[in-house]
Amino acid sequence: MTDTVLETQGLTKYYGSTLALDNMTVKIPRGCICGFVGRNGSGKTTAIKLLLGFLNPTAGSSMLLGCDSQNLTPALRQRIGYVSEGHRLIRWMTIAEIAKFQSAFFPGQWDGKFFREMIEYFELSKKQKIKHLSTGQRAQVSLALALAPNPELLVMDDPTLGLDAAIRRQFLEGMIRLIMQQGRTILFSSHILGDVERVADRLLVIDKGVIRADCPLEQFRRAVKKVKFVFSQPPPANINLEGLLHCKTNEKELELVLVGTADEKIAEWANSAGAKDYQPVNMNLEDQFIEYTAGPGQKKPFSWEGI
Amino acid sequence: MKFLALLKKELRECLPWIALAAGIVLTFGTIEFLSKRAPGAAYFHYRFFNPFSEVDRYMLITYPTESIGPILTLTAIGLGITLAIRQFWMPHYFKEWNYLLHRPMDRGTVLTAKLLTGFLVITVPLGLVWTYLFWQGTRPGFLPVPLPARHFVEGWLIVTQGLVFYLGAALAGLSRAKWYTTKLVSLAFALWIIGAVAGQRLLVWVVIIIVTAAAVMLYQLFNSFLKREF
Amino acid sequence: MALWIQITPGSDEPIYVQIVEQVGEAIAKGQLAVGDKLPPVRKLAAELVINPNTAARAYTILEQSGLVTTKTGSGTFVADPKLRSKDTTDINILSERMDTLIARSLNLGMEPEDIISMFKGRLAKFAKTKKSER
Repeated sequence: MTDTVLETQGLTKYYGSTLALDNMTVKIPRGCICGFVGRNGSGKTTAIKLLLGFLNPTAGSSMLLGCDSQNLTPALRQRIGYVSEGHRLIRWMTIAEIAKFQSAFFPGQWDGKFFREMIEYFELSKKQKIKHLSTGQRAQVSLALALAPNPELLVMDDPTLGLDAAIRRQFLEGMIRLIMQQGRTILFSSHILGDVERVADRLLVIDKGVIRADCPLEQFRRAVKKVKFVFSQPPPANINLEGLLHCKTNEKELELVLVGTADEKIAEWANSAGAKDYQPVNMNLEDQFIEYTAGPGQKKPFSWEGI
Repeated sequence: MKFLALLKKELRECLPWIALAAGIVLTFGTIEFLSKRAPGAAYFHYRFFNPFSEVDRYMLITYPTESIGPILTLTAIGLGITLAIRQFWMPHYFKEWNYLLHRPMDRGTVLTAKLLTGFLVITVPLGLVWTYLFWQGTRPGFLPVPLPARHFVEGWLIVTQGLVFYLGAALAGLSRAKWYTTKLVSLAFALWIIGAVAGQRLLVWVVIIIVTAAAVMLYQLFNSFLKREF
Repeated sequence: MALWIQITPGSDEPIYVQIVEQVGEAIAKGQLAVGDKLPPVRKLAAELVINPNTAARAYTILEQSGLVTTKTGSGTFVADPKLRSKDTTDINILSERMDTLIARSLNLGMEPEDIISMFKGRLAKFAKTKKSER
């Protein structure tokens, strides 16, 4: 059993002349729940499709469970659950029929009782046709179909897109249930940071095709800071503070967004720059994400040393 | 187990078209026979269907198969194209490929299941209906003159034309080009093949051309499907 | 028992911090007595719909600050206050936090005596809750 379930090395994808994914190099360890966040069009779906062998990379490589994505063997696909973008299934089938279809591919692995329980929990009837389900209900069925074979690795592309709060909650509960089992790993992309914060313990941030962060969630939370400085004269134009991401000046005030800067360094700089006072601004995960990905695209993720 | 499940799904999806196609040919065929049963039919030329039987142009009997031939051709081609659309165009439209292809199964096997279904669905119903109609046509006293045996083979060859169009439409469905550029090239190829077999007097040539064309298209299909991005 | 923990994702405070603070408050108010068993990590995670690691981290921090003890196999229990270590760093941080409150109160125009009596009033509430829970 490998310790790294997902690994990419310089994974790059061009659509014609458009760069969709730029040099993605990440390592996802076993047993973690990795939230893959990024704005619309930042490259999440491209990355996920590349990982599952649905797209061919322009450069670089990726491996799932130790096997090259471009050559995923049937035995490996048996261990990987996948909820695709939009969670489209087979329109004309009923829930019961698609369960039967899906279970045929996982002999000995399929947990029919679990599937029935999930469907019941989601208040769906097995006689309903997929085409008559709402997006949210389809997401639920997709999740149940992906979880019932007890996968080692679950990859989900924006599974809660378009779901209302109540259904999202049920969906997350389903995910938590999988997490409870040892050795399971989940990678899911989302732009609902509240969900990510609840469930993920690892964060993967992508912006304009570039991976900006690949670290434990807690590390990101501690590292991204916003500090407001008050000056008695106009603040200095040149700011020499390590970890500076961007700054905003407003008459006598200065707002800095910093990454990985130790509190002592901030205090030091405030002193040397002659600030009257400074105050950290509280941010939740969503605020941190917005600040971190604001501005023109960055080429490299920040170094996380020393946090 | 897995292959069967996939095959069953594909067959289920193609079922309505089987019924429709077989129904059309059976209905028209029967009507044709019944309308031409009257003894002492008057006029003297015959053509089964222009591709293969020009050589018999000067026989002086009427055969009801004048219209069965075209019906069979059109139905076979229509069925071929429809099935290809169902199997290869619609999953795109409904974005079902990602679910369908994330199977613990070689991609080539998925394609095989689809193609096997297409092959069975085109040849079996139409072939059976044609066999039935032909058998009717050879019963003594049913028609003024019984149908020649050669027609039987010709009928089956017409059905295989449907297969050629099926493969062509499948290739077109998988092509990522724009419809106004090279997407429909394979359909044009299918049409060209039909033209090529037309007028072949020796049925052996018809068989050779169709089999070669099918082989070429099958190779292209597998190539395309295995490498394609979804 | 987990019913009284409410987490708000999307708040400034990380989820594990919210849990730590709520458990701490409950202990201080006496809603949790010495020897009471906390819900197991997995149960808490399932009820709050959070990652079990988050719940586990909260429990680890509570244990580090001496509020709870974990007995392998049995669970996590509220610890005896006499056995809690008084970490001077924690106390320093605490007194700095008090500065914020004091500054705000003074800026609102409160007099020092008013601040003290307000503080005493809130403190009494904790004792009252502790008494009524007995």
